[in-house]
Amino acid sequence: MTTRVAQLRNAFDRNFATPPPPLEPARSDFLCIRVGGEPSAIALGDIASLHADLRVVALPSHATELLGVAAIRAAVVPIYDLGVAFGVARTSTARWTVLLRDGLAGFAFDGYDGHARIADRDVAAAPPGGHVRGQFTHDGQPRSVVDLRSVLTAIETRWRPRRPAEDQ
Amino acid sequence: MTRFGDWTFGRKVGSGFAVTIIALIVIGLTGLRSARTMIANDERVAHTHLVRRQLTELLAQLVNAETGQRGFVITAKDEFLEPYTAALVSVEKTHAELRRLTIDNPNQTRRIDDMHPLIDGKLAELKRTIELRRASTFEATVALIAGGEGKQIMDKIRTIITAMDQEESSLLETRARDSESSAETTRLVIEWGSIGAILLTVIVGWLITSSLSTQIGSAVRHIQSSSTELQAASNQQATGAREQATAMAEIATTINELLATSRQIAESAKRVSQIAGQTATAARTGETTVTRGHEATTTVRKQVDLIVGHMLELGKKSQQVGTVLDIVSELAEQTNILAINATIEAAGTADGGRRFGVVADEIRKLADRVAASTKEIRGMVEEVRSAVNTTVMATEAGSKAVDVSTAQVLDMATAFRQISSLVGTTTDAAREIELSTKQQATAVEQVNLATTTAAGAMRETEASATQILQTASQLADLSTSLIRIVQAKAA
Repeated sequence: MTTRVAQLRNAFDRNFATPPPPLEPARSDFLCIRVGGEPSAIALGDIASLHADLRVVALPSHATELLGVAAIRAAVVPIYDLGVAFGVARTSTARWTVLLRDGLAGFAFDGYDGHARIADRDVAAAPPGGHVRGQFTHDGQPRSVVDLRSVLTAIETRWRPRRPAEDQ
Repeated sequence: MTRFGDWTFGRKVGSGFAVTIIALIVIGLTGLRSARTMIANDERVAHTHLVRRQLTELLAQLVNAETGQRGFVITAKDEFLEPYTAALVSVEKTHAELRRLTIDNPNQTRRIDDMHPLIDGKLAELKRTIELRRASTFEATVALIAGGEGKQIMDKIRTIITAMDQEESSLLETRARDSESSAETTRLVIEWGSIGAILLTVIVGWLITSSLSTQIGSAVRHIQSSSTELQAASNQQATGAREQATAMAEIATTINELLATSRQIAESAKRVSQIAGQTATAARTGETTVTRGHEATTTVRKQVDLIVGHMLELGKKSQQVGTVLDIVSELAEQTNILAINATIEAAGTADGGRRFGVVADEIRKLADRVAASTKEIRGMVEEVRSAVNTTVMATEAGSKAVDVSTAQVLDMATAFRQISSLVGTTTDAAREIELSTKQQATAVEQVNLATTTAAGAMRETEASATQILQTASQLADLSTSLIRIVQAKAA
């Protein structure tokens, strides 16, 4: 245990002692998550923040993906279940939440595996028409990059209230 | 009265010969009587022929006398009187002979008596005629003859002789028939008696032969069966004697081994007695050692209780470490979230934000390492808690085992005391075993001697059985030959 603590202390000090690293090839940051048990990823540039154990107040709604609303950074934001959006049955273990970069909505999921910095050339393009923007492999595990904006657009399109003129 | 089948051999043969002899005697007596009858009849026939010949002779003599008288009368020569002279002598003899021969027949006797004066008269008339011829002439003599006296006498004599001859002829016919009848009877007796005797002999012989064949055949078959059984029994006896001889040899070998074993047992019992004494000493030492062990076990029991208390305390401490680790883990997670959010914020700023992002990355990495270390420490703490639990359980089990050991040590002390007591009994028993085994060895030596004698007797029995087997085989062959002799069918 003492050795372990010493290693941690040395690593912390080395971080401040070593010069900044040289410029590396273009990389992108991803959050490695699990949606319905499936390994997935979210581009760090798509979100504004990550939260754990966020308090969500449930609201009655036709939208099955809507978990409720939560207060994030002094704003009331709707929270959607990312697993339900991908056709997986709702679970009560979605303790992780990300807030979209524009702050319009948040998405909850059941697992957070960590941070990954992937070179852009290692991110493969996904076929068009879905909510997946690309794919890469991290720690020997393939992951699909979820397009949260596309998911939110699809939810809003599906559950947007119809105006009387549209009904006629 | 016993049945014919139950008669003895001699009685049957004797009876057969007796029946045959009786039949031959009956036939012989009957034939002898018939022969005698036939001979008597033949004698009577011959007697009749003799009587008739004498009658003819008497008549011929009278005729010859008359012939001589007539020749002399005619010739007056004496040489012509020779027949007359011979007749004078023979007539009287012939008449006397006839009287003797017919003495048994009253009619013929009466006729002969009647004929006697006539013969005398005839001879007297002839004499007178011859004397007359000597004294006178031929004519005077012829005149006398012509008087017919001589002819009348001669006719009467011829009449009597004819009557006698007729009666004799009648008797001859009767006696001839009797003789033929006797001969026929004799022939019949001889023929049928012979046939009957032959048949009787054949029947008796067949009966005796059949009975004796059956009786002897049955006896011979019984002998053959008995000899076969005797052969089988002797064969079995020979085999049994051979097996017994082999078994006795094995028994002798086994007894020798038993003898050696008995001696070994005696030696072993002696050693057991010595070892039992040593064991008694060791048991007393063991009892002392067990008492010390009981004291040491009590001390171990107290130490184990202390260990259990310390281990339970260690478990509580490890639970507290786990609680602290939960706090550290939560702090690491929050640090990670903050670092992620700092990275996001840094991405939206200019150059200073990029450096802030680098710092945020380092904080995030540090948070990741802390989380990983926390996870690792949690695992170690869990292992410690698991080990503590296992140790506590093992210690409690050890405490129980110590209790059991304490009880077992007490039992062991009791057992050592019992061992010490029993070893004394064992020593006495070992000495008794040694003594008994020596006596047993002596007895086994005697049994060995007896077994050797019995093995010799078995070999002699085997030789006798083999001899009996050969004798039975010869008896079986002999009975087969007897059956072949007595009953051809059986052969």
